[in-house]
Amino acid sequence: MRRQGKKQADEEERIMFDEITVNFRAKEVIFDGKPIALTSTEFKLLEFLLRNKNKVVNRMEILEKVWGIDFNMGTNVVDVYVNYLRKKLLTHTGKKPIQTIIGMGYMLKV
Amino acid sequence: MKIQTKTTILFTILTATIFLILNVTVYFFINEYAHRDFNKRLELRAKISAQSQFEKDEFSNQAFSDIQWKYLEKLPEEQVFILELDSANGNISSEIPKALPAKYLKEIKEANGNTVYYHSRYRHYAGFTFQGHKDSFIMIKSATNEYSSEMMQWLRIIKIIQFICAVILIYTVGLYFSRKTFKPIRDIISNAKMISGGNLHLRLKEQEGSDEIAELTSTFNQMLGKLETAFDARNNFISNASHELRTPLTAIIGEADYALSKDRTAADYKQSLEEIAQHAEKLQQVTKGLFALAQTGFTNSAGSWKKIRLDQLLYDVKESCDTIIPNNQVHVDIPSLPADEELISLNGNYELMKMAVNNIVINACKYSGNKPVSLQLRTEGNQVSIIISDEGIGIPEEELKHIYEPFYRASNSKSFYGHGIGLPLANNIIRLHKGRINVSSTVGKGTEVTIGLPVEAPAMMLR
Repeated sequence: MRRQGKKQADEEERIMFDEITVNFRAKEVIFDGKPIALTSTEFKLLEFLLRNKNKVVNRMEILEKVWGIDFNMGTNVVDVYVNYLRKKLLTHTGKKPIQTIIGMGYMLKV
Repeated sequence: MKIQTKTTILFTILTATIFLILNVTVYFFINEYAHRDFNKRLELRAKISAQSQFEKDEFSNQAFSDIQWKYLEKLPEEQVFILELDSANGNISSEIPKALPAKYLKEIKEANGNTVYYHSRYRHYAGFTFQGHKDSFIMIKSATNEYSSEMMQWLRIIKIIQFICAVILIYTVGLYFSRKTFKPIRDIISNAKMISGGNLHLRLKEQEGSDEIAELTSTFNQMLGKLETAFDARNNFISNASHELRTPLTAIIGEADYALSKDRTAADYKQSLEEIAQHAEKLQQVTKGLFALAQTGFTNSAGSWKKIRLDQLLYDVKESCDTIIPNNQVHVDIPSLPADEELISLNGNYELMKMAVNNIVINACKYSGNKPVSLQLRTEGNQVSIIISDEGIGIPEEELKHIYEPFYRASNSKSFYGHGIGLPLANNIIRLHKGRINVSSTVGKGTEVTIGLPVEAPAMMLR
């Protein structure tokens, strides 16, 4: 509970949403005291969505920011990765915070 | 002492002891039975003799003994002793024959008419007291148990010979079997002696079947595989390091030498120092990259096996390539990812896998002079393939079969710096992960390396 007060100050390196703590410096996602294992790309995706929380981001933006230009990815890579991330969050926390905005992209709602 | 000898001796002692106990018991009981049988017969004859003594008044003693002589089987060397007892004090009044010990006579007197047996070496005695018409007598019959003593003697000899033969036979058979049992182990020992740091790629011959020996052999081979990997990882690091570090170091030394060769203006010194700083920075970055690459060779993390995501592996390989070869043209190409991430996950050592793929990608960059390299990931059922294709010098077809041999370098690679360590190491690592490397190449056009890896059955992982 003490963390609640500190949350505001540490926001740059730690964001809490839906009882999930994301530590950007340690690259850790913790729910209920237990870490959720994400690959670094999945973490980058989550971080990007969190940094733009409550905003709709389109697939191209995600591809550019998370994967960069050197990656010749299929067009579905973002969708697949969002699904990996959703699945992991769902199995560990039972929550579905990432929403699909049809025709536009994705949004992480906090 | 060798286990083989120990086993044989132990086996021999054990079996011989059981055999000895069995033989002694049999001998003892046969002996006992023979004595009892003979004693019975002796007693019977003594009784008849006593009877004749008792009937003395009616028949003559001689006549009765004639009957006995004629109709009953006479025992060998039969003797009869009749000793008169003094009715007053119970002492023996007649002369005592030397053969009879006083103790035995005393026992007979105390037995109150029951038969008492005694035997010297071959001679058996059966005696009892009996009441005549007016006096008491001691009647003793004695005979030699010739037949059964002879038999027992034979039996003894046979048993001893039998025992000696059995021990020899058991020892021989035991030795044969323990040799046979330990032969695979001795084979392993003699084979293992030939493997040393210089030829770690040698392996023990895999045994057939699933017994302990086969398990030992495959465990030993697996251990050798890991050892070889660790060894090669170290060599790989040294090889990479000496190559990658040489260029910036030469530049730094050259720049410093140039600056120091004569007195220069402050601006010149500043420029030289900037140059040196730039190269040193590159050096630092290369060192960092190399260390990340060779981590497993230096830390003990080689033992940690966990779930590996292959798409992430490719991203990370690209990233570490960027530190070591800044102007590389490696493109990660993952045309389609499966919806189930288990199809691109496998159990393994992340650092080792990364080193393996990294080696191949660095080779692709090196032998193509930094032309574009494509790094692909494809899935087909339970099989994942990582395909690395370059536009490099290629490998002559007849030399393809040698490329996994340590220190082998293709004939057209002489102008490139290298030691022939990277690919054998990668091959080893992939084999540790139950995968296969397939290389196809055309000289002058390029090389395509395909790493096929089995992923765990999705059905198993879904639970």
